[in-house]
Amino acid sequence: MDDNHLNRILKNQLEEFEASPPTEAWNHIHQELKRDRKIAFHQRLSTLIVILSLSATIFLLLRPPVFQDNVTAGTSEKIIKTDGGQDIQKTDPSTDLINQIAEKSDQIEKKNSQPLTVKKQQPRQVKEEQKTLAANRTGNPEKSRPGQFTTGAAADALPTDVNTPGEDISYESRTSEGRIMLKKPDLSLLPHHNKKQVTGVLAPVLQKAPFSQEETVIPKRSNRFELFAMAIPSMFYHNLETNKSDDLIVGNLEDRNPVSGERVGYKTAVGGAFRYRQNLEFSLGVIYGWANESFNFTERTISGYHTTPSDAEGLSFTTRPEFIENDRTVTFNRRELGIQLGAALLLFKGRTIEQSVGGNIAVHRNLENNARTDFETEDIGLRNYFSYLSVFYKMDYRLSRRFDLTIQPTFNYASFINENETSPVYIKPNNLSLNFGLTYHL
Amino acid sequence: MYNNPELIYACKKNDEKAQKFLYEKYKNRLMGLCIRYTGKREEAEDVFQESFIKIFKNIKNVRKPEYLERWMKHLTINTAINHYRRKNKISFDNIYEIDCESNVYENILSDIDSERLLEIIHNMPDGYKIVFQLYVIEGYTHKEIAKLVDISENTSKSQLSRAKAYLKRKLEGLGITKFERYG
Repeated sequence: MDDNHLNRILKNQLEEFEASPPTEAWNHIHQELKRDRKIAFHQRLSTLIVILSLSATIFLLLRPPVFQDNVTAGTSEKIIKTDGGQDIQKTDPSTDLINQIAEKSDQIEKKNSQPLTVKKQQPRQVKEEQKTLAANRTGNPEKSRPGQFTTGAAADALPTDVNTPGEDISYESRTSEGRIMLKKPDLSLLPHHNKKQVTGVLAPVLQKAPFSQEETVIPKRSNRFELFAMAIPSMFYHNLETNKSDDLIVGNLEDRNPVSGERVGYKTAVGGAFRYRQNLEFSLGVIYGWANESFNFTERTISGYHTTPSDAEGLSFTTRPEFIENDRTVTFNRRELGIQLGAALLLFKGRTIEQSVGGNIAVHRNLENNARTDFETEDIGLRNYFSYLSVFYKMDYRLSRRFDLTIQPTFNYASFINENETSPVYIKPNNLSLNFGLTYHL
Repeated sequence: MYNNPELIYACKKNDEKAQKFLYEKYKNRLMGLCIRYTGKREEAEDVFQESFIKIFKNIKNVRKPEYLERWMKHLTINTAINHYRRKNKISFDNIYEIDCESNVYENILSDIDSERLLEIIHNMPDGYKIVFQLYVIEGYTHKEIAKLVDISENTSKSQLSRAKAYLKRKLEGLGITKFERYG
């Protein structure tokens, strides 16, 4: 037989071989493409959310903890206005508080009516700052003795505009009822204001300042109860666990980029928290989660056993299992509803930021279980009930008297509660999530 | 109607009309290709759908519009080979004893239609079948086959030689010995 001729005949007959696909094939392809587009959209959205959240976190962490106008602007209640430091005008009065503040302002007024001097009991910091400033201006350090004003060259060298109006320096004083915020200090309001007196009030942040244009009082929170609502984009790191009652072994899971958009799922949580002690808080919440995913893994099944004699006489044998490996794909839509109980330990409490660490325990129920594999009809399992053990770091940024912005990176470790014997493989949806949302203080 | 560059551009933009047009244009050829490589219609349908999804996802990578069909066929063949790997683990080592059925003794090659030829090819061991089709029908070189199927060139050559021997015996079993008469 002529090989080439046979080849040519076969090629001619088979190269253009055509067959009709099933009519529903296009619908399947079309649906799959739509689903991919949807996933791509969610991936882009979640990436954007993660980037914005991280940016917000970095911004808030790097921002100095000083009250700004916009912080106090949201709390219109309890504002006291003074007129040149003389008359106190009250708006939205709270009698006790206003009286205390009025007393406080009188005391400050009285105090500031006397020339300010460098006193012996003033903090060393003030004196050192004086010396440094004078030395920098003149190169001739002059000592400020207690009971005397700084005079001479050093005094001339010292800035007279230390406390000019509009300078971005804030003051605060505390009362039993709350914090008094002072801004835009204007030393021209002092009764005996002149250059030499000014030299005596260096380091203004350490000095009780006179009232200037306005002051704002932010009352303390009760800090006992709060409500929270969170959006929780999560990166899932699935762990496949085989059903030990069959011969199936899961080999390599698909090697996927750790920050791949294919890992993304979403959860939302609402709930309440109760501050048990100053630094200990308990929370209870409801979580709803969803994710559409698919991933590949290698499945190994035992096809048989290979037995070989292990000694010359053939009296003993060694048996080794022989495996068949199949690449498989799992696709599943997960919907879950859970209850979560948590505790958080306060690590740091600043003026605007609180930082805590804590843990949660949650019990989840699968609302949907339509995971499917590419080759077989049986479900690949999400067990009906499973639990999450979580650890988190939480940062609350104070937006206003009532609201905090909460950012909470959390690691959730999944474990199972019940078993589904028909499933050859179980999926443990471990995940790393970035919870963010609002906390409302009751 | 689209020409190839327009079609590729529109598919890149996820234009559903263009996608449908591309599908309608090539569906029969690609389905035929899938049947040739898988042997079973059900499996061929799976490979067909998977291939088209890959085509639409990766069409942005087509640089030369004139080779669109070739690229689609190559991608479909790749998908079919991967399907084989997943499903059956292709064996290139075993030498099968060939069971020639010799019920029919008609001495004319024209009686062998495409489907009968396909049946003979599908009855070949997997290794023979893939190498034979890639070499004889698709026109790949042994080097290309070796790279595609992840075997050595020598394995590819030996698989082809065995496939040809198998085919000849099968055809002889059907009474076909003189291909040159109708060449």
